[in-house]
Amino acid sequence: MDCRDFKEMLDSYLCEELAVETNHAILRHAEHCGPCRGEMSARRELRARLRRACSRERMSEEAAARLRERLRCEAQAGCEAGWGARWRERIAKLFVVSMGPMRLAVAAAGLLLFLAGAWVFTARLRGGQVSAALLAQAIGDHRTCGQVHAGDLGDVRMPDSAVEVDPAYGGLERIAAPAADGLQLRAAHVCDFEGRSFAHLVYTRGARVLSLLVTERDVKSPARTAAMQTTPFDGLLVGACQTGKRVVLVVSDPDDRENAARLAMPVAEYLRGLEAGVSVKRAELDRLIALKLRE
Amino acid sequence: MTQNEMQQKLEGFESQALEFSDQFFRVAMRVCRDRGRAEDLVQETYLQAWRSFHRFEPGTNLRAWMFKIMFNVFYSGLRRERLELVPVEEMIAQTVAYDPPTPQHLTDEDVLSAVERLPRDFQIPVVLADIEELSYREIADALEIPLGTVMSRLHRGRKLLRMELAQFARGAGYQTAE
Repeated sequence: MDCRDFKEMLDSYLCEELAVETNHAILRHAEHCGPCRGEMSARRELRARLRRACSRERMSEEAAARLRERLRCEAQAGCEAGWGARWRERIAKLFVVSMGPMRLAVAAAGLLLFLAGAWVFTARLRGGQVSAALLAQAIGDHRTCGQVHAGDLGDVRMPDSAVEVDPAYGGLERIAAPAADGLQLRAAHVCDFEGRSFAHLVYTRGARVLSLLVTERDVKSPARTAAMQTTPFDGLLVGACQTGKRVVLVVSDPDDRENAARLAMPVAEYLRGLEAGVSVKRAELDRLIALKLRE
Repeated sequence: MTQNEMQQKLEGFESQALEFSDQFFRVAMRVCRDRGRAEDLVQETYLQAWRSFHRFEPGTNLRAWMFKIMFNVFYSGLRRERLELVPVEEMIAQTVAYDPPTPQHLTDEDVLSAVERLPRDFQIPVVLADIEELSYREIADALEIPLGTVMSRLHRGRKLLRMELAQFARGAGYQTAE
């Protein structure tokens, strides 16, 4: 072995990666070659330096505790998932063992029928109640948009463009006007809140703000009740009145329940009329409004 | 598996695996070069190891198996971040020509920063072989590269490291062992 080979293989020797014979050859060379002995001790020293420099670093106590905590959570989750899997397995076994394929098909059909029935049944319920999500959206729109416009002044009219969103939105402020006696109309517009379009009328009574909102219903089925459903929600009161296709919502302070009902009912009634009639033409709308106003 | 069985399994895993956490952390520190990221890498390594612990063959090398997981996690993170661009070949061309002297009298910080300056492809085998004392075979398995590649990267990586250290020593005005 010459010095070149020695240097090539020295690191592998130090890592104990060489065959026994090669180890002997390395040692024999080092015995009678001073510079290579020096090189060997230098590299040995470097390895020791590297290990020493790195060994001082440890994971912090917090990180180690966090690691154990995460493992525990993971094990716990695995355990719970395991429960689910075991039950699914048991149920599957029950079906497969105790029923032939024919019975299994009958059972599946029965299950489908049951689900369909449940769907129809809950659809009626769904039709009867305004969802909490919609109530929350109404409150949100009242708090953001309603409060902003509570100080507006001047002649308030629903813009003509509102009919492009929903023909029923046109002239809505005039429909509500007779019922809004004692309330000051501050704004009338169509606004979007969390992806939903509302026709929005903002009223004030002294320092109080009321919002009358009309929006499309999620479930298009005849409303089970014409009555107004009032729900205290997040420190405010939301009254909701459904028609076949739309929902009228009034957001007010909790003690303004009467004003809310007074405002919502005629609007809902007007919308039901529209939905029962066929087309909504501007002239017809104005005639209806005039009629309402005469009442 | 019941709560009790799961607890036992976890304790079994922890008693075997947690003793390596500082080693994993040290390697993670070298490759991440940041304490927070290194700790995250170690945590993710343990979570993944725990999740696939049923695939670990008892009696084989748990430490090497977990290093393999760690580099999988590390490299998939890199691919997401598209961080690494190392002009490796140029550096080698400059260094294979001579065997630089090994400097003495360097501080631990000098040594660490020299290690951190190595291109990742060479740094990781060097850290695993010369600091964590994994066998060449274990390194090949952990990095999923052929044994021959491990050896050539180690060879070049060590040379680069000695050169880095020599530059440090010259810069600091230290004597170098000729």
